Amino acid sequence: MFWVPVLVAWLQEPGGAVYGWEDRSGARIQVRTLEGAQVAALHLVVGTGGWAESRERHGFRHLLEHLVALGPERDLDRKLEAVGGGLTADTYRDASHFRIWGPAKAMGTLVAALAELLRPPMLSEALIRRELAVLREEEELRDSESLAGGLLWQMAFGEAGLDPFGDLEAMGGASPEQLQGLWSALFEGRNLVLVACVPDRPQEWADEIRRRVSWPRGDRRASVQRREARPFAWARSDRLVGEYRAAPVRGLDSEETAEALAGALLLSSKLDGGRVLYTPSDLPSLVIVGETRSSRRLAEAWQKALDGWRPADGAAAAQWAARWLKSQLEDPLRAGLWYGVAAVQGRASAPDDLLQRLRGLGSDAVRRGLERFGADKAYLLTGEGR
Amino acid sequence: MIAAWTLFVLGTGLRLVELAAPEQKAVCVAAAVRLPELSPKGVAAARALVEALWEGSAAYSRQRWLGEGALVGVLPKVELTDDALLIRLATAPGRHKVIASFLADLLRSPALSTEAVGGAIQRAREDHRSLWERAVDPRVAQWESLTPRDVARLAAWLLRPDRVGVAISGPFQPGEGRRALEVRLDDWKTSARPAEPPGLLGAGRSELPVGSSRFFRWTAPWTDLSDRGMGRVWLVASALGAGKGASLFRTWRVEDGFSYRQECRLEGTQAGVALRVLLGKAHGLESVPDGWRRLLAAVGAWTEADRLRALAVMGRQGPVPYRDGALALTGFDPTLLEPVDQAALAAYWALKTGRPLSVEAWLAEARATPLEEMKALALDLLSKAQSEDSTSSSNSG
Repeated sequence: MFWVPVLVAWLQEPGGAVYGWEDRSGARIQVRTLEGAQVAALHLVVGTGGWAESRERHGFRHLLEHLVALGPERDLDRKLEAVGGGLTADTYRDASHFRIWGPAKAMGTLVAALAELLRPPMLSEALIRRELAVLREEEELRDSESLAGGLLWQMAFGEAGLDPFGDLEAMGGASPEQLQGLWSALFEGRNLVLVACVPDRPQEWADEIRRRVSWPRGDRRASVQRREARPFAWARSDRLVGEYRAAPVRGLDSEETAEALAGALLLSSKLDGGRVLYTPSDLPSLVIVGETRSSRRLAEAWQKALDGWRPADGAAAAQWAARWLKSQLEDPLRAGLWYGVAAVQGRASAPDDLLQRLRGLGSDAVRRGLERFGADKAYLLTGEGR
Repeated sequence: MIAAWTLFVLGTGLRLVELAAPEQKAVCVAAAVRLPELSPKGVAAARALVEALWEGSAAYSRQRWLGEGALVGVLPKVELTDDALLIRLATAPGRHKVIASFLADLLRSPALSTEAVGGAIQRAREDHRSLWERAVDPRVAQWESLTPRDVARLAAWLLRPDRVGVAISGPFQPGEGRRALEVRLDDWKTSARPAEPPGLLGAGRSELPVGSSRFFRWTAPWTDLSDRGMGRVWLVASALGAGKGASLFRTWRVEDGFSYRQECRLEGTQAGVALRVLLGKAHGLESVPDGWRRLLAAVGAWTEADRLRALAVMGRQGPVPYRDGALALTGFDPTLLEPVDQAALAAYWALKTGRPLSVEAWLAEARATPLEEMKALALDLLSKAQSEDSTSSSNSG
């Protein structure tokens, strides 16, 4: 998940030339040329492969992500930093995302790091215990936005919306064998998508990836999870601060996703500490707008935005939303998550389709998007805690 | 190659730096306002002033700022550090005159009506910063008896040409950016120097927050702001805290499972800069002294590979997806920043030192620092660092 301030970019079309192929393992690879990019980034997106979070193993994917990201020799980040690059990893509900980035001239090091990342991880009781200690510390430092996202998803989708951070008690029961099994289930060709965002020489990148990367193979057919939205609800939490409203949407490039994103951006611009939270997914999902500094002003700002509605506001918000997405799709550090998640869910062009929808969005549609955050049409969460 | 800023000093004493950057996709402007040491009431007034400035000026509302920023995907920012108040704005190429007007108007005519400031005080007082943010700036604010008049007095005292540095960068011809700011700020003459705002200046107090996590902070002051001095201390900070290969991350998180978040920061202070190590910890608090000893041992074992890794991180170009430590100068890491952050750092540095920012010179000095010197400096700084923690505090942050 990531927060979207009121953003945007412009210039030429995102995407550029794309080399794509499917490895014998079933892994799908895209090499996208983003001219003018200052860095190259390799985004490895690992689908859930139909492996659903459950109360008993809640957080196993997050724990595994921590362990995998270190690399089999536990020095992957050091190797990348030695050439001016780095690695980040995140666990989302519908995919895990590993991002290797650095200067394009370090192509060999970046691709070698990807190859290492795909090797089976070193797992032992001691390593798992150590990582659990880190996760316990992480849990205590989570901010309101992160906690709000977790709670709203659970309100909206129940067990199918469990917070990917996980449950520390459940994670405490994870054995090396269980995590090894999970790795085998997730890190297999059909469940993997690589999006390489590079400034130039796409053919050379493609050749290097073909030459150096060995994709794990399995015989499972990846399946897609299902989830359905529950009735709207309201909740309070003393663990967080602010007011948050979540509108359910279907499909990455659906009309309602486009409307809700534009409406949320408009609303957030009228708030102190306003934020929009959206995780790209082709499954039923949430667009969340948050007032992160108070639990009292969001409702008022929403009402004022509707009462004082001007078509020009809607047109501006639609433009903002389109420009914001375009900036994401042109950014080598961000584009891979969008295209990767869409591809692992089977619809690689969905981000471009969403961009087209946003560009065609009329003022009325933005108003409908804004209305989706009304008290009777959204999940509501407030908090006056820490 | 990192481009060099050019410094101009206007007749009013205002320092202006410009960088013509043809490859930049946005025009960025920034202002740094020098802050003195603030009393707890002064901290409250300054935080309220930040909130008030967010609302814009008489001529340009916050919605207009947001609209300009939206053209290039940059959210405007006003923030407070130990020794400065920083403003950052950006817009699309070709609009340097517009954004220069915004900045100049905000400095010269902020919207500080009693009503507006009253609202700003209320919002700032809520202080819903995250625990980590409060640990980064743990200055105590005293809100009782603070009035809109106090805030307005502080603003009048601070917002003067001789206390301000401004910066502009973007894809324009050399001199265009400077002229855009100069024409709007050259005649900024304030009336006779106002009296010091009563009760707002003076010794402050810090209390690290207490929440689900406790916080530990070690501070080592650094006063050598020459290129050589900055290059050396930045190298140490990077080896300690920049990236996941840095000692803080390797020792505390990867090897020990001791903590999730730990940072080494270079922060501006009244006396110069300070190297600060910050740790958030919820469990096993009694093991912190031992953790500190392990960190010192790791620094003592630094090899040439550590030095080269730190230099590689310092020299990397372009945006990065995260900031994970060694955040040079109050949250800035000069080579990792977006252009708008670079502009803010340039404005700050011109104001603080009277010299244009030259990250390239810092890098050259860092590269010329051998391993043994880097190690000795790090151990010296860490062994003398003053420690604070929130474990024995009874405040709730």
